[in-house]
Amino acid sequence: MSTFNVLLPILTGTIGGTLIANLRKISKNRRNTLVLVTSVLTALFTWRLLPNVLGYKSVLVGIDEGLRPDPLGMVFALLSSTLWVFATIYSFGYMADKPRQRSYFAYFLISAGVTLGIALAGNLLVLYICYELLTFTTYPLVIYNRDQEAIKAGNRYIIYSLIGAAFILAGLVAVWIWTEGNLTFGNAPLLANLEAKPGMGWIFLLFLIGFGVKAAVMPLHGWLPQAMVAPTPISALLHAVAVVNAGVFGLLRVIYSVYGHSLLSELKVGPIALVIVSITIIVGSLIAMKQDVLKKRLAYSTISQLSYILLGAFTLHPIGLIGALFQMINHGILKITLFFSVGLITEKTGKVKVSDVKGLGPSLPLVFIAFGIVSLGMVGMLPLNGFWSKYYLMQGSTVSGYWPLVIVLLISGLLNAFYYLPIVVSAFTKNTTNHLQPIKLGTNGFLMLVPTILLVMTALALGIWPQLCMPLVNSVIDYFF
Amino acid sequence: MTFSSIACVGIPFIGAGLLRRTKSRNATALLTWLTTTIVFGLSVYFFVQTRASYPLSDMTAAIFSLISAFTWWLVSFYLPEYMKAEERSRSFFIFFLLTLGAVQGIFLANNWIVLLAFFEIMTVTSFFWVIHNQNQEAITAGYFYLFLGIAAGLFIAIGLVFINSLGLPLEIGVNLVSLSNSTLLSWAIACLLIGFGIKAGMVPLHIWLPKAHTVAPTPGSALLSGIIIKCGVYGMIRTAQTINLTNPMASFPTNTGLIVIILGILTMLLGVSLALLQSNAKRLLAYHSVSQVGYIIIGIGTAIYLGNEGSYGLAGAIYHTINHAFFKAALFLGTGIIYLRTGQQNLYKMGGLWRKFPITALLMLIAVFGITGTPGFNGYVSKSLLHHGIIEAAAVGGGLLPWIERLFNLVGVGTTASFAKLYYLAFLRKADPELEINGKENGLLIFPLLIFALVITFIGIKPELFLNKAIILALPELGVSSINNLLATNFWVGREIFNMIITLLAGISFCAIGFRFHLFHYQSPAWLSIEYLGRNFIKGLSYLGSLIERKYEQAMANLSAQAKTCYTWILNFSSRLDTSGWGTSGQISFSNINFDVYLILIAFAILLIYILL
Repeated sequence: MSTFNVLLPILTGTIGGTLIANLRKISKNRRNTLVLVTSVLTALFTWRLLPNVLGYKSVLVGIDEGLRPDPLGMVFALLSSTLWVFATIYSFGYMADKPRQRSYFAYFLISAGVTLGIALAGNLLVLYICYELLTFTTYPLVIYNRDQEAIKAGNRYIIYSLIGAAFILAGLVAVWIWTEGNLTFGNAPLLANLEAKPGMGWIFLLFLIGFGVKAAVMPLHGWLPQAMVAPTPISALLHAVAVVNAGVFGLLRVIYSVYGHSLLSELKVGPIALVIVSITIIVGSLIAMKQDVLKKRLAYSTISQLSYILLGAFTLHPIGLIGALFQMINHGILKITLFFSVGLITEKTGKVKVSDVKGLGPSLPLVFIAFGIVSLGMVGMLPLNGFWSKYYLMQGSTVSGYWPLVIVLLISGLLNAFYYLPIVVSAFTKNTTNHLQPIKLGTNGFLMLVPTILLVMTALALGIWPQLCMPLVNSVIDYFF
Repeated sequence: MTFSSIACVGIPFIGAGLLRRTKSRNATALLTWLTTTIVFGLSVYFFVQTRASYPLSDMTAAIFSLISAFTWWLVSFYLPEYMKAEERSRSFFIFFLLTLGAVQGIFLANNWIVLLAFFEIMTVTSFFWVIHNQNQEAITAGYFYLFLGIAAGLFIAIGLVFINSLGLPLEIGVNLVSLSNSTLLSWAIACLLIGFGIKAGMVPLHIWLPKAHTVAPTPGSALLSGIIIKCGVYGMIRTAQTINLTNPMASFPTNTGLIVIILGILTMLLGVSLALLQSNAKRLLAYHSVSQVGYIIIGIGTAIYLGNEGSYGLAGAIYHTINHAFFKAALFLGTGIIYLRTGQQNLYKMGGLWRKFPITALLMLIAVFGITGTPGFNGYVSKSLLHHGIIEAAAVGGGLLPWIERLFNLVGVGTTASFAKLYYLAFLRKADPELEINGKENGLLIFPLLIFALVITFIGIKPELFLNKAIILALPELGVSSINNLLATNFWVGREIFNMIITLLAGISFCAIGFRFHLFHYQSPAWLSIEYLGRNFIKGLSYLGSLIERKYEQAMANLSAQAKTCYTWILNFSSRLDTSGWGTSGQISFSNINFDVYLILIAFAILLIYILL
């Protein structure tokens, strides 16, 4: 695989974004075409890397090993670049009559490139740099509304992220000292040849805090619910898929590429981390139950669901890792769909609260049906893809001996049902106070509806044929175990 | 997987898809009827085919598929007439067919995962039956139904995960206990029993059942009670199959069997005693569903307990599943006719209805004979099989089991008493002058009742036919191979009949005493009920969540205030040290930044120092 091929998706996103930023006088249609082409190309270029990664026997080269797609990175890269295309189409509908579109789409595309940089990074330093960059490129998107609330949320976001990044930097330096300057990810973990030292556990804690900020591990989650002031496609993509998954992905990298599962089980960080993660899962769901603002409820649900991924990863067992990867993919698809539906509801009816959606079902039937199906997936019901991630996570925790995690997952599944399903049920119950006519979606609504429906279908397809994800997921397992 | 079994599952889904396009009410009804007829025909074909290829094929699945398709087919005659009185009938028709497909999928699945998938679909689609009326009561019942259904699905999933973690296959019909005997497997079986037990209405997980049955439109209640809870029973039978039934008296099956028997008797007792206290006809029938499922669970329990010798229990469980589907569906449909014409579900406001609805009264009497176990009707057949089973278990095991046999008879008395109450209050007693009656019985409404009554009587008169031609064939593959006793069963033993007649008389006299001393109006306090506890538990959880969130925000605000104070203090302090005048840092404004993280930095510094030392 040539160097250029790996660089291509990253460059497409960033250059496309920069171009959009500088084309001040372009008409809206042309700009939208350019944005669409860029994001589709980014996705295509990423998918083109897949065959080489699947049979990773071919030599993986990059720019001085700075970029190097391996199966784990490929999972994240494919997920984010593909969902970006859906979010792009959705954004055309959502942003149609909103100001500051140029800056919106510019940062939107640049963030896509930077996220791919994280995914395809070949060493810890590049990963760190891209991780920092992601904070800066997404900051303008978070404060898009430019009002008091947005600025406050933006401040919180940037402070949390930067301080987290400082922790990562400290950890990075320690690893750099231990390995005498070698930070390149390979088949074997970086610290594989070293003996376990007590300091390693503490350094791992630094990484956990650092990446844990973006992965919204409690109590570092404070920025996430606030950052929901961003426009919905941004919340959907950045705060349910790309940014938060970047944190999770960073931790997966640290666990499997830097420390390695055998060293970590020697250091005994697994149980402690699992306790933190379990608390996040349960408490996140508990808080979500009381949230009345739809997007905040989704945000707390994200906090809880992200920790599923970490739960799978920290079992340090191949099946747990399968569960983690399934959860990353499935949660991405399901959560972005939930956000898309909420965005549609808010745009078309102006309602932002759970208590206000009562009786809205018949006026936006497809949207609420999509929301309902996807929330069943979140609960972990067949034939939705969410079942499979839960299934493998439970199996991973049983096989690795951490059987209490099964109870955590069970409780969390029930809590998911408690806070998602009443939204749909109340939407379809009679509301005597206001009789609503069916709402015409129009072109913009249609642009928002199409990606939503397509994603619901994807969720169903992956639920019925989970083996579709299996080649890639299996190659991750082969790569690390 | 044969063509007919796939078609049984697929055709209802196609039919439901077509229903969205129908123009008139009649077309909708006709299409629904056509779909159920086709599915019924296919399932008959499948049954015949399965019998022909016996013993290679799965008889249990064929029996359950046939019974469900038959009940659905009969209800589809009744449904259009009944739904004229309800709003949004089209959506009910759609979910009616979707649930048929899902139920067929559950029964015809050959793999636990597929079974679970259809089980979840069934939960969701039948949920729409429960909330059909959309009033507050229906929504509450719907939530109970949905959440407990989801919990059931999760428990089943956990059971499957455990089985898979042991490296055991997920095919249905594998004797897992013979492959592994770890504790994890017993947990797996416990999870499966809990999951299917929720759907079957096993105590203490039955709380959704009376609520849901009461609020759903009557055809829905009839199917919920007749077939949907049997999906749970079917799962429990399949779970029993995973325990090695051919290896009797090993400790694990014995213990499991005993637990299941105890759960069964509790279910029977609680169901019947709560049923006695009900004044709402549908709720009374719903509590009887709980109690009758208890009979079935006891049968499964004795089969697990006795292993290879448990043929009476298992055959009785399957037979009672079928019989209950018939008489309970008939009873619900009959109650539905009365509700449709009088708008009344409260038994104390009915009365004298046999004059206006003579055929309904007659047919419901047959169904009542069925459920009370009167000799000559179908309930007698399965109840005497179950009774046989429990007597055999008591003979082998001793201990608690003889007592359970006595309680078993007691439940029979209670059942008779509450049906005597229902029948007396609704039909025989003098009419309430305020009762308004609009309309009469109707051919389409009566037809399914008539067929059910015929089947009930036919099974009662010729019980051996269905037993020998179908149920006994299903037993060996479920793990019970000693079936010779069962083949030679004589149902017309004087003592058994005498026993049953004593039970009936005791029941009727108990009912008379109950009326005399007003025993049927006792209300248990609200805090005793499980739903009260459950609701408050959920409320407590969500309160806990909001508390944690508030505390977190408070702590963060405190932290940031502290950090700001600290920062100002350090700034002041360092500017005092500063003599050269380079320190203009005091003029840089950080006031718009939340410095809640300052403390984290300090902690980080301490940590670094700690590591370096």
